[in-house]
Amino acid sequence: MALWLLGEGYTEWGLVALAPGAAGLIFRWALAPPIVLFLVSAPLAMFSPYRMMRGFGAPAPRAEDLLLAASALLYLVSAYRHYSLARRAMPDDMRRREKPSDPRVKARWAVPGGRGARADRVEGSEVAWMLILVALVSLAAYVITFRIQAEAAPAELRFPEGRFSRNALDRVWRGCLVAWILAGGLAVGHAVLSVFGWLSAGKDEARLYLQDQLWSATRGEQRRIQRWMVWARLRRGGA
Amino acid sequence: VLTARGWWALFVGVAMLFFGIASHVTALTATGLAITAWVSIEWLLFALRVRQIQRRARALRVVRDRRGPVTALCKGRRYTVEVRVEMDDWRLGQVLATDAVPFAVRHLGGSTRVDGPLGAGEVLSLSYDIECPQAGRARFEGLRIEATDLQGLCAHVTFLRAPVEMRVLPASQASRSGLPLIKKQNALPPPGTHRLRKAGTGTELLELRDYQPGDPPRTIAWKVSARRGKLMTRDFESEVPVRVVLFLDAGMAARSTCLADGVSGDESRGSFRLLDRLIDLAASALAAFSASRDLTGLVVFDEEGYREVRPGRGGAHTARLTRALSDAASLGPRARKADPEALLPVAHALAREVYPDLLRQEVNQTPWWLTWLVGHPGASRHPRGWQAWLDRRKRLLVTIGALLVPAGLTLAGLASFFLDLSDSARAWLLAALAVGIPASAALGWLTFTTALAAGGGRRRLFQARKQVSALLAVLLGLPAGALQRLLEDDDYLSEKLQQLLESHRVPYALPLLGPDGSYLLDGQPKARSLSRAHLRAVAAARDNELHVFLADLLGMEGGLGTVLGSIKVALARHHQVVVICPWPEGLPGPDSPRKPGEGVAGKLEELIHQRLSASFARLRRELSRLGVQALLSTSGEAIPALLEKAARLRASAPGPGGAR
Repeated sequence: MALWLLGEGYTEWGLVALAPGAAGLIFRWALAPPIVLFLVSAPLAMFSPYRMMRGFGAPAPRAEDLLLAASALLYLVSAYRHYSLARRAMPDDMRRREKPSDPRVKARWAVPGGRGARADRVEGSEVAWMLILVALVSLAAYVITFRIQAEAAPAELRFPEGRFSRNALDRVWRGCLVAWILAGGLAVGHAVLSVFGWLSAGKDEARLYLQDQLWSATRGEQRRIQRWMVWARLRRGGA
Repeated sequence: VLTARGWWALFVGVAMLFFGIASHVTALTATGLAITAWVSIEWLLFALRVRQIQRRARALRVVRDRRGPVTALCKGRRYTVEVRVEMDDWRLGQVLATDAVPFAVRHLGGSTRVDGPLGAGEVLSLSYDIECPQAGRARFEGLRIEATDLQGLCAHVTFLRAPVEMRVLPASQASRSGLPLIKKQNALPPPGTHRLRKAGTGTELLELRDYQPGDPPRTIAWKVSARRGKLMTRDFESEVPVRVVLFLDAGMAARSTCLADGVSGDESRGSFRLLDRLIDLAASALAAFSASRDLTGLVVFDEEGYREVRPGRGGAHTARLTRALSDAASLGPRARKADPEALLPVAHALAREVYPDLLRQEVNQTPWWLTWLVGHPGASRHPRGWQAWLDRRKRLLVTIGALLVPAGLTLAGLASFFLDLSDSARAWLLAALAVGIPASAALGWLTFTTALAAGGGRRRLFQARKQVSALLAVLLGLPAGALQRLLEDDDYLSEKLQQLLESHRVPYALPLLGPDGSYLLDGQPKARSLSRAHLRAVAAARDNELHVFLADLLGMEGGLGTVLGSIKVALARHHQVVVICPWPEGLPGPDSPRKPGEGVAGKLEELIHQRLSASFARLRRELSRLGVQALLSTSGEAIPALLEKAARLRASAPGPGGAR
């Protein structure tokens, strides 16, 4: 990535991005990858020759762009894998951070906190699979990027000339398109997981769900009945 | 599912993607899209995999001692627990498996956690050593599984339930104390029998008497008959087995923790139970009597009744009695009127650990607005302060203050136009309404917001109550509608919570006092149970028997008269009775001097010591009048005294109560 930045003429940024990346690797700093990626993307977003340009078509495909996408993804994946291997694989269980609500719970379930374990082995096939997958995902992302950049806002949406530039409107259109794609993907993923979850649900889980549905539907009526019954029993002497 | 790392990566990816689109930079857009796609794919695959853990993962557990695998544990012995975690087909990136060590055992060494990849052909194994400090039951619930992908972008914690319950049998201490377990003199009858001075079919001569028609010819004493010139018959002693019946107190007071941890806050002290000490004594007595081949029986009694094992002998019978002792040791305290809010945190912690998949919002949801509008439970016997009072009535208060009263006042104002009122009266009325309506509405809303502000803890408690109630309804197979009943009925919930905790062998402490200040562990029902069981044993007794009361009679002042009545009946039938009372560990004996306590806990201990000492003095006085020995579990003389009694019975020597 640094080489790419140097090659593109962002010499200072390339050097600046190297420092936190190296420090993150040495000191096993989990926040290093986001910072490095931010430092890489900042000059691209700020000093892009296309940023203020009014009206242009899709840029020509360049192998360097694909290389940057692949190297950034590879860096992110391998940096986090390194962090898992060298420092901790498991994040903290959030329940362990909670203060026990009652002294009786102390030293019982869910309280003793455990640091994550270290992953202590890497198989050769893992590295090969990682390289293949990174290449495939990067290539797919690059192709989709060109497809997105070829998109233009429909003619019906165009404002009178002078209010918004065609370029700006196209960008907004592409942003909306990507947002919809992401939201749709999220919804599809959630639906797939839900269906898969119900298919693999156990007996207790299914009974609990049905019971919860019944409770949700008749909660008010049941509450009134039960309150009267408890009240009457307590009034009788609470046997 | 996404971890902090995952969220950061996703944030960076999405930000780069949109910055790339905004600035029309292909490299930036492609990089952002690649990172977003990678995190999304990882998330989807990981979520699909972890949902298969409950179905496809297996935990195989073996508990072994030096000789091999065991199916029951023994108190005080060391065991090795070996666990293997396997999974079919699917592969999880990285797994940390932690075995949940049961409460009934003590972890001695070895790691209870293991980590590594888990999938087809990949097995995680762990091994650790345990010791059982008390008899009862040890329940191995299963393993907590923490799974993550290779980069740590996604993580999931679940529990692989593989319950294995094992009895922890009590250990005898009599053999270690060097007490005589076999007969030392030839003059004594064979082990397991004693002589009864009543005509029978034994070998020892009881008396000579005149021959009576019908006497068997072989009993005629020919030499004596020749000397006396008339037929004489020999009567032999009756040789009968020694029967011992142990009456074990498994009442609520004995099951409860001694010196309740709610006072001292010291868990290690709070975990001590009088029942454990009684079980130890019973096991030692059982071992001693079994070694001398005496017929030994057991009666376990509590407030609800008693369970009886008739006297017998032999290995199978001893094993049966030992299992009965182990079952008695595993009983937890029960008090229906106990406040469920004291048990709810423990039960909720258990549910979160062992049943995290059944507490998910998808299957066990609590609408967020419900706790803001409705307070639970509607009626309770437990006073919980003004916050709970406000919380329960917040909806009613806001309805009255902000709706009904203003509406009523408005109607009154409108009605004044149709009534024959003077102008000045109408003006005063309208002025009063102009002030009263907003004041009432403001007061109603103020009360409502105060209830909300003060009831944050109660809202969280209700959420926990809802989740645990739903879980209870499913696990215990309760009927439809039980969920709402658990939410509204404190007594019902308390009963079911105790059932859940006891079935999972989770120790818990119950409050000793009820909502009206009454002592929840009243000894009267237990005394009645003991008396009934004792009278039944006396009625079923064949010969003179030894009845051993291993009972907490010190906390049974109200029912002592009932117990003394049955003891008198037993003594009248020439049985022998010994009473052994448990004494709290760490508390000096009744005759020992004690330094004045410091602080609240010290003062409380001092008061407990005074009360127990006075109770024991009274008990000893009452029993000594009947010639019955009263001993304490801590005195060290309990087992020797029992053996001495049995030996006296065996040799037919008269006991202190006049019994033989």
